[in-house]
Amino acid sequence: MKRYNVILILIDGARVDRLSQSKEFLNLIKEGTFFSQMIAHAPYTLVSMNSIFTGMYGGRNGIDAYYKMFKLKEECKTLAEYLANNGWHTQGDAMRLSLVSNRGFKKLTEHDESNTDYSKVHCDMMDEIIKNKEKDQPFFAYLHYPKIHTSIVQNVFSKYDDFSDEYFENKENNLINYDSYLKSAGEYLQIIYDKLLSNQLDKNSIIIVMSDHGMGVGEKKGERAYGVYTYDYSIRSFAIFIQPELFPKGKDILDLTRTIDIMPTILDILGISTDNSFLKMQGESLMPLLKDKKRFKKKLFFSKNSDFERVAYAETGGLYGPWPSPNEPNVKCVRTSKWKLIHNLTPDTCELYDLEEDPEEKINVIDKYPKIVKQLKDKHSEIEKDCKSAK
Amino acid sequence: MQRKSRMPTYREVIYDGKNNTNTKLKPNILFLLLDSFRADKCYGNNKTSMTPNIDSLIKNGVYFNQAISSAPSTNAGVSSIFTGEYPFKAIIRNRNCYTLNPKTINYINILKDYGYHAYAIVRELFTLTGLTRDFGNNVEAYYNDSVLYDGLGQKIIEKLKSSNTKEPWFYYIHLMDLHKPEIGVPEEFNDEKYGSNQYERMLSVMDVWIGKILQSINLNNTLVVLTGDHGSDDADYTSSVEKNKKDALNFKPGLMFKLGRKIVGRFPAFLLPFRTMLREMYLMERQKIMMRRKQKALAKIKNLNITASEKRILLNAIDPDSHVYDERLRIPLIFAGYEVTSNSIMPQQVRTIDIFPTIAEIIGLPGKKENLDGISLLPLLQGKKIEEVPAYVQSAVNWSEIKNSNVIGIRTSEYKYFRDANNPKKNIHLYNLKNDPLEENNIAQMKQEIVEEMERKLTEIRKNSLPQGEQEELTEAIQIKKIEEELRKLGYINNDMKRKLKLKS
Repeated sequence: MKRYNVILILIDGARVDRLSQSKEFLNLIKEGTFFSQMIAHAPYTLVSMNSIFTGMYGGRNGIDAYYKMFKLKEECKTLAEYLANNGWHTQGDAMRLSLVSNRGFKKLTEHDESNTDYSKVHCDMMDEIIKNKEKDQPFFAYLHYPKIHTSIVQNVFSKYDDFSDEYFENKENNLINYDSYLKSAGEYLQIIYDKLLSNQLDKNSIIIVMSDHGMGVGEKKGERAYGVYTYDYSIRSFAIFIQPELFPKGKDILDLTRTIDIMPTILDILGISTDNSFLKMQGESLMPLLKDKKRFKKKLFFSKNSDFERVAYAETGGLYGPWPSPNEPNVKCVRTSKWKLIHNLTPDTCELYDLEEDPEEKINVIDKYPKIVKQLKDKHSEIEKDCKSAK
Repeated sequence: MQRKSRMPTYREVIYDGKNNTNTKLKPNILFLLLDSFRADKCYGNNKTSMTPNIDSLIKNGVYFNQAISSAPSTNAGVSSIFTGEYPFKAIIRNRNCYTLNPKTINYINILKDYGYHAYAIVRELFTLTGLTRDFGNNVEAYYNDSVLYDGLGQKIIEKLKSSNTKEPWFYYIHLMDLHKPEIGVPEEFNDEKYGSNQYERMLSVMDVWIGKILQSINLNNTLVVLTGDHGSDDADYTSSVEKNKKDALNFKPGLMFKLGRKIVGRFPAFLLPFRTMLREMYLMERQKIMMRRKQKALAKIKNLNITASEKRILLNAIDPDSHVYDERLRIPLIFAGYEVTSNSIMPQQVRTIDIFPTIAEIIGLPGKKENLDGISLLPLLQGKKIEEVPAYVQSAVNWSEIKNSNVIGIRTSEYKYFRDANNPKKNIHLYNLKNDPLEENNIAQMKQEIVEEMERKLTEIRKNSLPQGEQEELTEAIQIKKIEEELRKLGYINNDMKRKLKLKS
């Protein structure tokens, strides 16, 4: 197994459906394999990042709400820990140290997002990594770009609340603003990618460009940007894996995948076996998706002896919105490629969307498909039980 | 539940900013921790190294001649120092090893709240154990084999002099030079006059750099603390012991194996599965041979006509085990610099958990840390008398090859008592430290009444830790405060928002 470097570039808050607005993103998508239907476990960074770095849902790793910020369970092993234990030099720059566990990182920094030039800081960090690691030692670099978040905080959070007509009636404008933030992210991305190329780091590295969650622009009243609901604009994310030896260039994987699958994929590629003395990951390696298309052909939903096709689970408990719930998640969602079932615990309502017919989730068809609702509810219980189980 | 009136804790005093009338100048604090530094190799007749700078520090400061660490391992030792609490409170089991208990408040945080900037220079490995958590970004992690003379010393001096080091600073510097002295004493120091073995010669080398480091700071406004986290067996090794250890632990394959390896190495591709199988067989065989060798060496040592303590050192060189004999627990403790004027050698027993409470009192930190096991030694520094407090000790539990089960015990300047950690009736040891300082003669059978008294003291110490529930409540409140601060920094909540939300606190 080749000991590739792992370079994880996280563009916080990048919406997959707006990536086409940025030519830099489009170029990178051509360079690697693009997983375009990757569902985040939560529409906000704290829970999403911790689920990514442990390969399991918040119900299992301990961080499933804003106020569980410091409650990552001791029995989880993070991606950085796996890599560090196997000889990788691990270093990263997180948006804030409270959002990403530093377990396993030899060095994890944070900067003031309002006045930091991330292109420069991260280029310097890459230099520092090269300088500090041993000669043939592989490294894991984590680069978190938070400027989309910063712009949203400055231009949306501090100006409007979750019910401001001024904001919700101006969706086009909000979208134009968002696109401009995404374009800046693209520019950052280009600088970093160029830096990696110029140092020849792309040759022996797996570069992952991804997002931890999307962003709303006023599609649903009650949520200015993210964190309150689990609609696709905030929970649908993406990942681009760049390494020609493993990932075919220009390939699009449309199958449903999850952000919690990223860590198992990396461990699978590097040949690092799971440590059974820790909590078991719930994500699965995505490598099979690249090879044998036949195995992952969509199984018929109602097929008697097949298991359900792949299912993603997301949940959130907003700090604001119609039902604030910072201590526990109160909006839970089960999603397949076609269907999404949402359960809003506080008002005890449910929503069902046919994502193929109604991708913008405008028409609630909860009453029309009781069988599907039942199957999704069963799947939801199964997942919740799985989260609570010890191993 | 009615709370009895008690002394306010640090948190209460410091957060209550308006009432803070403390205008004392805060000195810088240089905390030099020399890993594996044993007391009798720092000062006294057993020392053969040449350490003019450490000697000068002792001469101009206060030296505690009977300072005891709580455990013979770095994790437990340093965690106890940072928190002023015994290991059973300061550290928690974190999978395969022990790390700083995230629920305890430690002195690094208290100093930061008091206005200090905390910096650390530690071995890279320690950043993975939670010991440096509270230094945030201000940690310089050096690669594991770095020693003072090959660049680390220079780096330390640069850092201390740098403009990025803001006053008042607290600098924690953990040096590994003595941990594995066989790594390499430079040629010019490899001579009898610098010490009788590698350990002592390495100390002589370190002293040169310690001198340079001390010269780069202003001792008038810096409090210097120099100590160790635990002792060391290496300190007693002679060159023949060093050689025996190396031989027993290294395996040099014989001619047969070498030939076999060459042949197997040339196997064509289709025979590769055989190669794997053969390699596994070879590794198992090698393991067996090493075990046999080890057993032979151990049997040989047991039959030697030497003292019990010498035997103990030799056996541990081949077959390491964790224990609480003085060679692992007795460490040096020097206070010098800022306001330490008494220049004396203190003979009474003190503990490493007393270090930070002492620092706190010297620099004028008001209030008292909750759940403290250590006490301030300032009265001793001021020439007053205080009653000796027993030291709780325990063996290190984070060794994967532990042979005997763990022990816990009590040490006073008169006796060392320890027994099986789980069963007070098992593996009982009692040594009279005044008559038998090398702990060769277990008198537990004959001195039942002393055993009982020590056991009573031991139980009392373990019971006196704050009930778990109260501890958790307090840390919960602190955590919520931290969370809200973070959410504010992220821009998610501001004062208007907070009013609208019904947040649990």
